[in-house]
Amino acid sequence: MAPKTELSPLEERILKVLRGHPEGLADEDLNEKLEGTTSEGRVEAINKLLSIHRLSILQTSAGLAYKGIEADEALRFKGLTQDDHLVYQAIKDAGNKGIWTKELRYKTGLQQQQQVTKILKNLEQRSLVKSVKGIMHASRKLYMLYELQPAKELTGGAWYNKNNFDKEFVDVIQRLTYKFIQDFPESSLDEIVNFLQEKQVSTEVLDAKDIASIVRTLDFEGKIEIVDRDDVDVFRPALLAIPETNPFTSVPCGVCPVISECTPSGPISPATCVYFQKWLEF
Amino acid sequence: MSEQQPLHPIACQLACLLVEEQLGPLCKEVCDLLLRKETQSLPELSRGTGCSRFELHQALLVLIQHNCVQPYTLVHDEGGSTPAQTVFQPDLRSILYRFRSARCLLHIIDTWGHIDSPATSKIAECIIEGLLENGRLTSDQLCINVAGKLDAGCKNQTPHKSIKRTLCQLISNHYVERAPPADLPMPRVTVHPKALSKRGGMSSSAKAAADQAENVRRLDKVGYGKERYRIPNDLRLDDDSSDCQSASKRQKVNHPSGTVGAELKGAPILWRVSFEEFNRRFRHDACVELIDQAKDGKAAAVAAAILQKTRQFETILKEESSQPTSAGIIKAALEEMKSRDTELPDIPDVAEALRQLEDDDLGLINSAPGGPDGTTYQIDLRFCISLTRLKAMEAIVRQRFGRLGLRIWRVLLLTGQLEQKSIKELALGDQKEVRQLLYGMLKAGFMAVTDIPKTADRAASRTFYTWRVQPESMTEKIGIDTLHAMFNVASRLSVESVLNSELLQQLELENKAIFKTHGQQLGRLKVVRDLLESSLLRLDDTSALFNDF
Repeated sequence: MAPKTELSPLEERILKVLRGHPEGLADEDLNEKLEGTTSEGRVEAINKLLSIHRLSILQTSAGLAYKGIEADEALRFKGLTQDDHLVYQAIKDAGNKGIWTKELRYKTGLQQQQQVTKILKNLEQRSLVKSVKGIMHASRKLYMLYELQPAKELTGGAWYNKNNFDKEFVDVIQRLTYKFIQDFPESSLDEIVNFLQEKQVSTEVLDAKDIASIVRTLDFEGKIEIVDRDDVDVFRPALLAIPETNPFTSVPCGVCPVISECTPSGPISPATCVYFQKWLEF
Repeated sequence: MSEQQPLHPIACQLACLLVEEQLGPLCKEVCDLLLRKETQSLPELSRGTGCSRFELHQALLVLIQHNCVQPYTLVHDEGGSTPAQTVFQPDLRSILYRFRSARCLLHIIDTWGHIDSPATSKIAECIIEGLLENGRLTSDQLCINVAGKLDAGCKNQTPHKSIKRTLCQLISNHYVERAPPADLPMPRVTVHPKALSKRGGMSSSAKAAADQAENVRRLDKVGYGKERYRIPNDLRLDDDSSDCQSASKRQKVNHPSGTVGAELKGAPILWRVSFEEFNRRFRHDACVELIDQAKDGKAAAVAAAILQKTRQFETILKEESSQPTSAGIIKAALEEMKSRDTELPDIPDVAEALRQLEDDDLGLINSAPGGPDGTTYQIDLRFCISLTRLKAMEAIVRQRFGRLGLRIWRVLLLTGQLEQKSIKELALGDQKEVRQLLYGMLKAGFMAVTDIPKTADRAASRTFYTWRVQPESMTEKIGIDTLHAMFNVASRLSVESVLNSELLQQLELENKAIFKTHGQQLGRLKVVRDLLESSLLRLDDTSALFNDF
């Protein structure tokens, strides 16, 4: 570990003031708080703090503002090149939705993939950034700041586990929701959410939006109906259930994937059909 | 008789298979040619089939007798200088209706006791059975046929009068109709307007001649339409029942020119089963069944009473809705039904039951205030059938593509067209699985995809693909697929019979030893035949829903 840089009293004072303003402090406000110091001294101290990464400049609606960086955090930035900072900033701007290398190259103007890869590896080793994989593009690595949690768009939300769709979990929540609607017809979304939260069926916090998507699937499966009662959507079991079977699908031809190619004299025919053979085995 | 519709190849194949099985290979050959060429004269048929004139005559007589072929008179020259020619057209619907014979008989057995006394139920059943077996018969032939069936093993003879009386009732209930005469003009072939414009405009004189021919055709059809369910004098004079009397009075009103009793050119009247009427009743049954499922038995009984009471006002098969009827009339109809069928549920307050039915979110029954007898109610028949079809389609999609497949299908049905990503989010499924199901449903014809290119080169990477469900085209697709499945099941049935033909021959010779040596094989054959035959009957129900209602 590199030796700790000694700070002057003014520099210590600046960092102390900024610690009280984690959202950042405007230049004028900082000057006010540093009474009795000369402007040259302040400029010199700020420049030094910026050079050793103990200070960062933020762009706020009111203009430029300063934000202090703790010593251990600053240590992680020590020795980074300008290009490293450029890449770090682009990743930071992407927020919790992340950014992939192609876009990173475009935003930073760094043309060589190898160079970007090297920088990213360095940033990852310093625990400044991390790579995640989204559900949309499983093979694409997305980079975001180390401390951020990936957005729902990337993880898929409550219904995904390690980027894989959790079918069993969806089925369990679906079954519980349907049972509740059967037991309490004309129940509202809030009632269903409360019921599921009380049940504590998952470690994942399921919000109203998540449960609404489950209720919607029940509607799409024709199991429930959505009825408007005084401008509030309530849910009840479907009046007209979908029949369990149909004569068409009860014969092999109804579920045959090659029915369109089936002809009496062709290679696929009712006389030689393997599905018929299996169906008529007694 | 409607205008001539294009024939689907699989329906034609199924018809040929059925004709060969029931009427023999010669009839099949003639029928096959007619189904391929649609309209043929006798010389053309002779050339096409290579049969002798005698064989052709025999085959055509059998086919006409069984309503599989209809002769028409083709007038080449409107002026009358060229002699008229008889041409033959296949009646595909009548041929395929042979699959529905058992259902027709069951319908008569189930309902006739409720229409008339149970004593005449057996006669009605035998009349329908006789007509289904023989195609078309005169009333005298029918009397002999029915009496033969009823009196088998009985000392007492059934009087022809009671058979004729039941026949009259069947005619007045439109279950039996006159067979169309051979000199009807041929139905007009529907030509697409674009095809007409391609051929170039007709001259004014040609157009006038075509219009005149069309008017003649329409007049002849109207004439047959009036005669279709008219009870002839010989049947009416034999019968003094009130049903026939009232039918007679109605017909007198329809024939003010004094033509009552003047039969069609003195030719013997041939009677046949009216498939149109049976289809109408089956359509009603489907609506009542839907209301039973959506509500309860009481609602279904109310719906059945409405349909029974308003049946006489239905003029076409695919009526949009039943005739508006007041609660009083429905109540009277229900009481009448209840007096004949004690199993019907008690409905003390019919008006309240109707109000509950009308308040239902589904909207199966509509009401209109202000009739002479107060609020009137009518069943939305078209909506009932659409809903029944929709539920059948959903069941098919679920059985074929699973629950996620159904979710995807319904997402698109309810929301219109969407991209794959949005479908995945709404249906809540795994991306890979959703994609596989979408393409599977596209291949099955349950879905359509539209490409919206972002650039002129139509590159796939720069194109949006939106998916959508088209219920109308899917209805058509399932209708055809059901006929295909029927053809396959019927073919398999023939194959099983051919494979075991020796065994069946032995069985016909009543060789009892065969049970000892081939008992297991015979048992399997029976189970297989039962399964295939029952599947055919149930497939025909689905076919009726998607192709006929």
